[in-house]
Amino acid sequence: MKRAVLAVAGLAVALTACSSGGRRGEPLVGPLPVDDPKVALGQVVFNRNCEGCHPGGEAGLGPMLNSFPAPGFLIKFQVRRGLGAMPAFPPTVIAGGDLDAIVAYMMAMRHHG
Amino acid sequence: MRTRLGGGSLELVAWGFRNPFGLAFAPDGRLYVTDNAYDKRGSRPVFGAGDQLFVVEQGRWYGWPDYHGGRTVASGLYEPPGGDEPRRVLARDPRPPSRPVALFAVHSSSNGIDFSRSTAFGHVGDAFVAQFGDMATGSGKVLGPVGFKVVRVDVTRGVVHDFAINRGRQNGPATKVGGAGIGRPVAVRCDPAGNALYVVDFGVMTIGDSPQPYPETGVIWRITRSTP
Repeated sequence: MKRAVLAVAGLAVALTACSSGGRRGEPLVGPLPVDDPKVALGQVVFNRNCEGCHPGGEAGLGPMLNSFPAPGFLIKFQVRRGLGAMPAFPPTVIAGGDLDAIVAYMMAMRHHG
Repeated sequence: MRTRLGGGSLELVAWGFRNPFGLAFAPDGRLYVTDNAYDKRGSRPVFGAGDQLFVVEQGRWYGWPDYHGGRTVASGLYEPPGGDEPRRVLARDPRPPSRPVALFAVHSSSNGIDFSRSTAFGHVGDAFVAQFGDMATGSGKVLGPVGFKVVRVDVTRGVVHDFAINRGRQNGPATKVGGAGIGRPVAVRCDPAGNALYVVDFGVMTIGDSPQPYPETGVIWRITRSTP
């Protein structure tokens, strides 16, 4: 199990390292449609928990996320376990449904613009 | 604090802010304040705490020195890499801390604020906030320049949108991304006539061993709505 955790964490680091581009600011690509309630919820939860280190999904204190090519399960794994300087967010901080919504929002941002 | 325009004693309105910068009334009459949050430095470094936007309410306590975003700094979310979890300072909370309306990027230095009241300009009821930009590495390292722009905040949902930024492969001041664009916005004010947003741009200031401002680089930007 420990080896599997390390492998997934290593994959996350590799995917982060190969990420590039990905600016999604409204002046550049227009507003993100949030007609999907799950995406709309994800936008709110992202702003409450992730915006500080990944402003607009771009690099800041943490790395760029908009071009982060990881699948949803790996994003959720990293949020729950943390990685490097990123803390772990337990379900008491980000509930399961809210985490699903964050992933939906991140996927929408990834394909926007 | 509050006092009469003609002078008099000071009256406490609200407390528990760390470094409040910008104050503005929204169209609905509520008072908002931007607050620069903790840094990873000093005797009790706190990591990953973004600047905050609060609604100021009479008699409320806003959490400093033990809370951020309504969460205690000892919650496992603010531990510096390789460091210790921040200790709480107060023996007991004076009252439950108020939560922010919105969170800004860590080290963005979210400062001046104003609200749109004009349908001609658009975004009525949204807040516009000037982000001076990070002072890395003095205030801590970042993986990409933070701030150096004006953001728009949907205060009903707590969602922050880029509003005035520089083009380029990455965010940052004009001196870093090229061109002759935005440097370090520090204040914003909506035109009373409702036609424009004015932005005070401090200009160029580099951060080496100490902050180095460059004379005669500051400007005032006038932003208007483009014709569809």
